[in-house]
This record gives sequence, structure tokens and C-alpha cells, in this order.
Amino acid sequence: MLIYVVRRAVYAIVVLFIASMVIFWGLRVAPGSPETTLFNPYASQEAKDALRVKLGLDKPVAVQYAFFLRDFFTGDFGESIKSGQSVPELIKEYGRNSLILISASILFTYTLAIPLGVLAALRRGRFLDRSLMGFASLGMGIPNFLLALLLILVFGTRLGWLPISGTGGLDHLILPMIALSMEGLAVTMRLVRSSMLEQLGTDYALTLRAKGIRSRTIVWKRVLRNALIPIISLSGIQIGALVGYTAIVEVVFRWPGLGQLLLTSVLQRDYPVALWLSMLLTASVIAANFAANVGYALADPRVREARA
Amino acid sequence: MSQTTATFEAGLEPPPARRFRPALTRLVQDRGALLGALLTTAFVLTGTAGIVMLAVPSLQHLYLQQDLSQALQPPSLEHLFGTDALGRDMLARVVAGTGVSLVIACSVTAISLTLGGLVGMMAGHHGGKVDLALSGVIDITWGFPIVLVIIILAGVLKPGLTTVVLGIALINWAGFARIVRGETLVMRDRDFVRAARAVGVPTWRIMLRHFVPNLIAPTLVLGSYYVAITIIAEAGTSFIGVGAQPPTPSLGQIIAEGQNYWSRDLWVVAIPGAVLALIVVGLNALGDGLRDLTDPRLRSR
Amino acid sequence: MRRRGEPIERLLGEYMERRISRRDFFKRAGALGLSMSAAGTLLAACGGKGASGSSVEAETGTAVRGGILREGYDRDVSRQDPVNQAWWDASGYPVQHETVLCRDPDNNVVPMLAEKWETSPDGLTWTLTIRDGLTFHSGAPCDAAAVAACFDEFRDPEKGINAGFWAPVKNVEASGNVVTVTMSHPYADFLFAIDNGYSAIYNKATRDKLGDQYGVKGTDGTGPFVFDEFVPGSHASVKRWANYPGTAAPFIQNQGPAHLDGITWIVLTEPATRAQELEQGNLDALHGPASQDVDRLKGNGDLAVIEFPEMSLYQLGLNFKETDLGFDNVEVRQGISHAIDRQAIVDTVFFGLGSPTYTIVNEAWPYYDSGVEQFNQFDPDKAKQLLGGRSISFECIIEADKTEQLVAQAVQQMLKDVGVDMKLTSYGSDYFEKLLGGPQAYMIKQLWSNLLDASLLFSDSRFFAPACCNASYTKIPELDAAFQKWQTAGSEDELRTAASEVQMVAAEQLPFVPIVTPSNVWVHHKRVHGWAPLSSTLYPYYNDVWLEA
Repeated sequence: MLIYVVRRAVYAIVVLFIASMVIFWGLRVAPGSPETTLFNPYASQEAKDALRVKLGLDKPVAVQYAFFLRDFFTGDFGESIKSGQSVPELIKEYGRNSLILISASILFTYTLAIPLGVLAALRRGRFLDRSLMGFASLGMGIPNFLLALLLILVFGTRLGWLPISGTGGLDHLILPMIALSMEGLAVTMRLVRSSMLEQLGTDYALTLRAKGIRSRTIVWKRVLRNALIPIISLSGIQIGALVGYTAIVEVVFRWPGLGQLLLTSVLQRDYPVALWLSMLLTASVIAANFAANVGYALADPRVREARA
Repeated sequence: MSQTTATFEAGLEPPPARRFRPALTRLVQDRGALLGALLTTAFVLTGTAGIVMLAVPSLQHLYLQQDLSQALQPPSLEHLFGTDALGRDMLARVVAGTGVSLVIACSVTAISLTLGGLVGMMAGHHGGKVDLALSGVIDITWGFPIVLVIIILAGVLKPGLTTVVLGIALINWAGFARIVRGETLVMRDRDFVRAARAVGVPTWRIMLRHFVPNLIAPTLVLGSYYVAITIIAEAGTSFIGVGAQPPTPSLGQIIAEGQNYWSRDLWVVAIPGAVLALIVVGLNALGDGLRDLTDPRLRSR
Repeated sequence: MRRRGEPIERLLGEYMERRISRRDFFKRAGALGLSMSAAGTLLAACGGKGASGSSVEAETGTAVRGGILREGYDRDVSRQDPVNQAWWDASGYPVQHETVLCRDPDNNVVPMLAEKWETSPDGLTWTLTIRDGLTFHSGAPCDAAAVAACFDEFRDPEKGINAGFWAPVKNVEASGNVVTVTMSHPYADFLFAIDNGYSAIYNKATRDKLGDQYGVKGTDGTGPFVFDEFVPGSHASVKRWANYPGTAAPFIQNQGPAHLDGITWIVLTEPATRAQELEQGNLDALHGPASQDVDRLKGNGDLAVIEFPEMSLYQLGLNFKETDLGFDNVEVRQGISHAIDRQAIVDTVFFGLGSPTYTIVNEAWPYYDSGVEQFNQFDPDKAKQLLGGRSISFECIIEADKTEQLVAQAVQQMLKDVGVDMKLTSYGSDYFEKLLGGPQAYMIKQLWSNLLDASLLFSDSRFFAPACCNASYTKIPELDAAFQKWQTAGSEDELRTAASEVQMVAAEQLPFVPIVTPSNVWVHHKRVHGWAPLSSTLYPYYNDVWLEA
């Protein structure tokens, strides 16, 4: 087991390193640079050149990458070119907002998906099951930005019940949270249901029933616990994927989170922010992946052997 | 369904191969899958019409022609889906947009299947160091959020459809490689394969005659999910501005343009939105149906 | 009669909204061709009583002190550093920083930090007298030395981003309250250089100390509000400066500290939901609601909509170097210009909130000459005739902005109708790199309070790319000569004459093809009083603004 973990960790670090080179090089050679995007286009050539020198953009890319590595190890993450704020501060601020949104979404997803999935499994074939599964199909089918627009239109504009953008309170969180969670909710619900059905059909569950132990106890203790194992290992991956989807939801709802920050910094060539944020997001996805793999391996010993 | 969960579900248990005829009958009996198949067929047909419109210069005016005096007209006999902000016919634009979605879906899926298939088979077949390296790459890649990749790529290259195709293909191949690899590993140790190898049958022929037939079923299942993912990813990124650029009429682009007017002219968003949703729901339903066909243990009905 | 009717309607509107005085109404109505009696009848018919000479509602007697104004802003907030900024927001100027002079609602230059200014008879020496006892927020004195220090940074090519407009300045000296600026040639245009946010006065010592963080962590200006918060992508806010001594600008009624406790600008880059934020009550005021929402907002009894032409224009630049396309031939350019139905673009893309533009400036600009309107009218037949059966196909680069893309696509169709094939490529942040590389054609929206000077950068042969912005390598000797006269004009009369000449030559010779100017639309809730944006600047002066309790 330990070997497995170590090996996966080594992979993660190597990939992160390679990713850093690709991202760094890519951003640097991309057309457009801060002095034209973030500067007044009418600015004098001297002022623009001065900015380039100040940012170290006049040096060859390889040298800049070396500085980047040095900054990484000394913890000097620089400042945003556009706003002048220090990058760690920016990321912390926006990251907090993203974290709130993601956590709320995860909570919402699993709090609803697990009971509903179990319910659907128990009432299999009946109306409740069919409607829940139909709802799940729709939830998976409607792209999240479309759902976001729909929510804004219905609950924000026509009914005026909820605010449609920005942060500021619990009510601001509701619509973005729903838009973000819907797909995960649908998928998890279906998985819980099928996993439950699988467990309920196993020999030992039937045996337990035959022995006369009360249905409720069977369901809620043993079966549920076993059914949830695949869900748990899935969750690590789901959360990693969530990080990507938040970008779109944040843009539509004007939620000041990391996804929105990434989009604007990359498009505006705010190098320090774009670079460190990309690295952070890449690292977190890799880390989530790593955790998921370890979790999966913990749950299913066969996985560890199959990798040999 | 995100690509991770699609692969995850499909990969929980490698499905045994089945013959086709009873499968087809079962497909027809499964109402959800039937609906999915119908919607997907409609998508392909409309998409093909769209591609023709995009490709043939004399037809391009259908979705390009503006008429500023007819801007933002509601659906009518003359314009079945109404007109957009520059007076262009929405029906033509939506059809052209579907064409774009189809092209992207096909190209990305083709790349992913080819690349993923090759890598997966190599990894599964050779084992050892090769497998170690390749599966390391596969594992990191298949869970990566597509949207982030596209955003970063859009910064590196230029926002546009090529970027979208590249970004999605860069991630999708890995999910498929994973399945293929798993399948190959199982097949490799089967007695008859060992026997064939001992006798001297070349590797490629083993792969072709034994591995590939077993891969058709999971390919179909995964394929339909991946096409749906591709379409959503393209629409989403076009919507936030890093995907298709105007005047390319991708569905996401049309929704993004129309979104500005939805407080007064709902159809400009509602219609392409509904079309998009129908396509995705159809593909998902088809994928579900195919999966149920090929692995009764995970049947969702 | 449509063309004439519109400006009159607009003029009436401005009068009804109390943004111009009665005297000005008659003056401009006369310029539009109305006799005094006709104008008077119009006024009477609309029930307009005489407005006072000021642009602000005469309610300051009942002004309420307190409250925070929440204003919706249609751009992202930028760092408010007069020397080094990409753009200036309202929070930078006129709120935290002020200029030595500014313009009043009638576009006359009036004092702000300077109480008076004089030009020597030969036009080479300018003397600006700074008011007594002014200080910065930090308490440091704002005297002539402080102002001169700013001027020196503005004109330093390595620091000041607008150093180009300070080029004729030979020397700046300060003594006591007086700043003396010496020019190398007469330069009446200097007024346009110093009346905007790029020349706002700040405390150099503080700026040196804060360095890059000036405008991010804090500012040190002389304006009625002090820096509070700056969060790009979200909002920027300021608080009242209790020690504000008041302004010398005569049109601002509140001559002491501001009524408002503070102001917050909220970033709303998505046009689709902007108006709703105001309607839902999350904002008190809003700049630039989406054009399609304006009618609805006008119908809302709680809101007041103010609309006037913006200091901007969309333009299409055709590269003179493309001789096989014929872009160096004025007839080809004119042909393309006549093919464009500008009014139709205004009606569809901007929902009527805008106006066609016929030269390098528009009617918002102080010295606009309406004589240009005889040129560039929509006439497809004339266009075809001028183009002489040529088959032209070219690539035009545009910015990745939704509205600009709509305008470009509309123009594309119109050109196709006369046989010209314009292909579009949309660029994002790398647009300017492409622009300065000399594309076949480009489309851009210019937005600046010095519209003529800005247009100059795009059309004077001294400013060929990549040194600056003349990306279409325009070379029109007549126009260059006219620009010279503008830049060496010594008095306001000379400025006006030169301006007229520049505009007329440009309208006929087309260094670039002007398209349309969108309207500037401001909306506020009726509980906001004294809120009067001016066409000469980009934002209102907030000292007079107060909120109902």
C-alpha cells in the first residue's frame, strides 16, 4: 500500500512540474502582453518598454522560467499587474468565495442525493422512482450555464425572489449553488440508486431479511454503508471536476471566485495572477485525483494489484 | 454527465461482449433509450444539414443574411424561430449551430478514440515500465476539468473553435484509454490469447480479432456520453467567450448573443437553449440505454 | 426632416432635464436653424419653465447629509493612478483627485484647483495660479510646487502615458502659488490636455512612497472623497473627506464637504443583468444599461434616465498601403463610407440610443461643426458608382467586444450589398499588437474626452504605427496641415477655426471611416438628487449629489 501511495505521489509531482512548464511557456509566448492589454493603448513606447523591463519580460523565456522557479521556492508570488494587489491576497480573497460556493454545493448535493437515491432504490419501478430518475436525466442534460440563465430568469427577474449576482448573504448563494450542484446531484443520485439496488440484491442482504431482522435496520446500516463506498471514491473526482465547472457559474452569476479570476487574468495577460492561479488549480486537481486514487485503492484492494 | 463519472460508471465492471440482434430488440423495448436514439438521430440529421449550409458558399447566406429592419422579430410564418439582433433567421442559425456541434463532436471523439485506444492498448498489452508510465499520464489526465484547460489554452493560443477541440480532445482521450487498458489487461491473460501468442500469431492480429470486438460495446456507451460532454464543453466555453467567435454560429455562441436580450425577447435564448438541452438529454439517454444493454447488472430500469 | 428633427428633440430633452440653461437652449436651437420665436413656441408647447443657469436641480437647500451612493459601473474598476493608469474611473477623477481646470456643462473651461490662468500674448507662456491653502488628503500642501511636480511626471515619456500631449511643453516652473509653463510653440490645445483624469493632481511624495500600490492601497489627492476600497472585478469605494475646502468650479453648488458619506461603484460587466440590479434596488444609479433595456427603464416612474451623445466613436480604418485594394484612393474610401447605413445601425444595435457620425469627432465634442453632415450620407448607388465596379475583398480586425462585433457584422452586410467583401477576425487582449502591426483594416471604438486629439493619433501621418496609433498609415497632406494648425493654435478662436477645418477635411478625405456614436445613458433612482453627468467629462461631479433619507 505504501509503495502505491508513494508512486502515485511521485507521478503527481512530475506531472505538476511538466504542467508548470507548459503553462508558463504557453502564457509567455502567447500573443498579447500586459503592456498593451492593461496599459493605455495610447501610452508612449518608452512607458511600455519600461513596463516590460520591470516585469522581466525582456529576458529569454528560459531565464524567466528560472525566476519563476525561484519565486516558487521563496514564496514570492508577486502582484497583479492590473490591480497591484499581491497575488496570494487576491487568491485568498477569491479562493474564499470559491470555497464557499463549492462547499455549499457539495453539501447540497450529498444531502439531497443520498436520501433521494436510496428512496428511489426502495421504491424501484414506482412513480417516485421514475420521476426522480427523469428529473436526474434532465439534471444531467441541461448544461449548467443554461440552467444558470433559467434560474436567473425565473427566480431573479420574473419572480424577484432571489438576488442574481454578487456575494452578500446567504440568499446570494442559493442560485449559483443550485446551478453548480445540479449535475453532480443527478449523477450521484443515480449512482446511489444503482449501488443500493446492487447491494439490496446481494445474498447477504436477502439472508438478513430472511432471518427476520427488521427491514429498516438492514437498509440503513449495512447496505447503506456498502453502497456508499463507490460514492466516496467518486466524490474525490467529482470535487475535482467541480473546480472546473465553477468557472462558468461564477462568470454568469458574477460570483467573485477563482474561476472568474482565472478567466479575466488569462484573457488580459495579467501574468502573475494567471500563472500562479493556473498552477494552483492544476495542483488541486492533481491532488484531488491523488486522494481519489488512494481512497479507491483503500476501498478496493484489487486496484492496487492491477497496477503491477 | 462529467467525463469522470461517465468513465467511472462504465468502468466499474468491464462488460462482456454480446451479440447484436437480441441487443437491438432490447434497445427498442427500452423507452428511454428509444427516445435517446430518436433525439440523437434528429441531432445527426439536423447537424448534417447544418454542415451542408456551412460548407456550401451559395447556401451560407441563409444564416448570414441580415435584415436590420427585421431585427428581433418573434417566431412567425416567415421566420419559424424568429430573428436575432441583426435580423438573421434563427432557424437557419440554430441548424448551422447544430452542424458546428456535430463537427466538433465527431472530430473530438475521433481523436479521443484513436489516441485513447492506441495508448490504452499499448499500456495494457506491454505492461511493465511502459504501462507504468502511460497509466500515470492517463490517471492524471482523465479527471482534469475541461473548462480550465480550455480557458488556459485560450490564453495560450487564441479563443476559437480549434482551441476548444484541442482542449477537449486533450482530456477526453484519457478516459477512453483507461477503459481500453482495463479491457486489454483482462484479455491478455485469457488462455486462448496465450495460446495464440505461443503459436506465433502476430500481436496486431490478436488485438484486432480479440480485443477490438470486446471494445465495441464500451466504446458505444462511452462514446455517446463523451459526445454529450464535448457538446456541453463547447457550448459552455463559447458562452463565456473563449470558444466559437462570431459570426460562427455555435449553439453556445448564439445563446451568449441572445442572452443580452432575454429580458424582452425570450426566444433568442430559449430556442437554441432547448435544442442544446434536447441534444444532450438524447445522447445521455442513448448512452444509458446502450449501457443497460451491455451490462445488465447496472441496469437503471 | 428626420436629421434636423432629432438634434432638436435631443436639445429639448437636455433642457427638460435641466442640463442646459435657457440661454443655451436658444443659442443651440438657433445653430440648428430655429428662429427665436419658433424655439420659444417649442418650449412653451412642452411646458418648460425657465431653468436656472446651472445644470443642477436647485434643491440644495434641502440637501440631506449622509448615505452611501451605490453606482453600477459598466467596466471593471482600474487602479486610480493619474500617471500610470489604463483608464480613469469616476472614483479616480473627479472624486479622489482634481485637475487644475475643468469644464462646465456648457463646455467652458472653469477653475478647479487653479483660480485663474493666463496665456502670454505670444501664446508661449502659461501662468496658472493655484488657490491658497489647498492640501492633499494627507495634509501635505497642494501648492504650485506640488502641481509642477505632477506636470513634470506627466510629461516624462518614461512615466507619463500621455507624455505625447505634453510634447510642446518646454519647461515647468513653480514659485509660491504660481505655476509657469513654457511652450515651444503656441498651444491652445493645452487646455484639453489638462482638463481630464490623465492630468489629475496627486501628491508625488505619497505616490513615490506607495509606488505600484498607489491607487490600490490608497491615494492622496485633493478631491472631496478619500480612498476606501479597491477590488478589481467587484467594486471600488470611497468615503467623504471631512476637510474638503470646496471647489472653485462655479457650476458646482455645494461648496463644502460632500453630502454623501461615501460612494461605491459596483462592477457590472454583463449587460444582460445590469438594468435589473437597478430595478431590484441593489443600486441607486447606473451607467450604461444595455440599450434594449432603456425603454423599460424610461417607463419606470421611480427612475430618471439621462441620455446624451458620448465622447466616442466607432471607426473603420482602411490601410492606405493596400494600394491594390484602392484604399489610398479617396473615392474608394468614400464609396465604402456611403455604403454604410449608419442610422440603421443606431436603430438596431443601439436601439436608437446613438447617432451617426460623419467625421472624426461627434456632436458631443465642444467645437463640433455640423457642416460635416453633408458628407458620408447613406447612398448605396453613389457607393457603387464611386467604387467603380471594383471587386474588393479584405480582412478587418475587430476587438472581442459584443457590441463592436454586432456593429462590425452589420457593416459587413452593408458592404456586401455593394460588392465589397469584408472578412472579420476578432481579437481579444492581443488586439493592439495586431493593430500596430498594420492590418488591412481595423475597427475600434475610441472613447476619450479629448476626441479630436485622440482621432489625431489615428490619422496624422506623424503617428504611423508602431510608434503610435495610425495603424492605417493614413497620409493626407491637407489633414496633416490642418492638425498642425490645431496644435499650434494660440487662442480659443484659432482653436475653433482649426477644429472646423480639421473636421471638414476629415469628413471629405476620410483618414478613417467614422460609423456611429453610442449615447451615454445614465439612470438613477429618483431618491438620488443633484446627480448630473456632463457630456464634457465622462462622469458627474459628486459633490452636489445627495440621497433622500
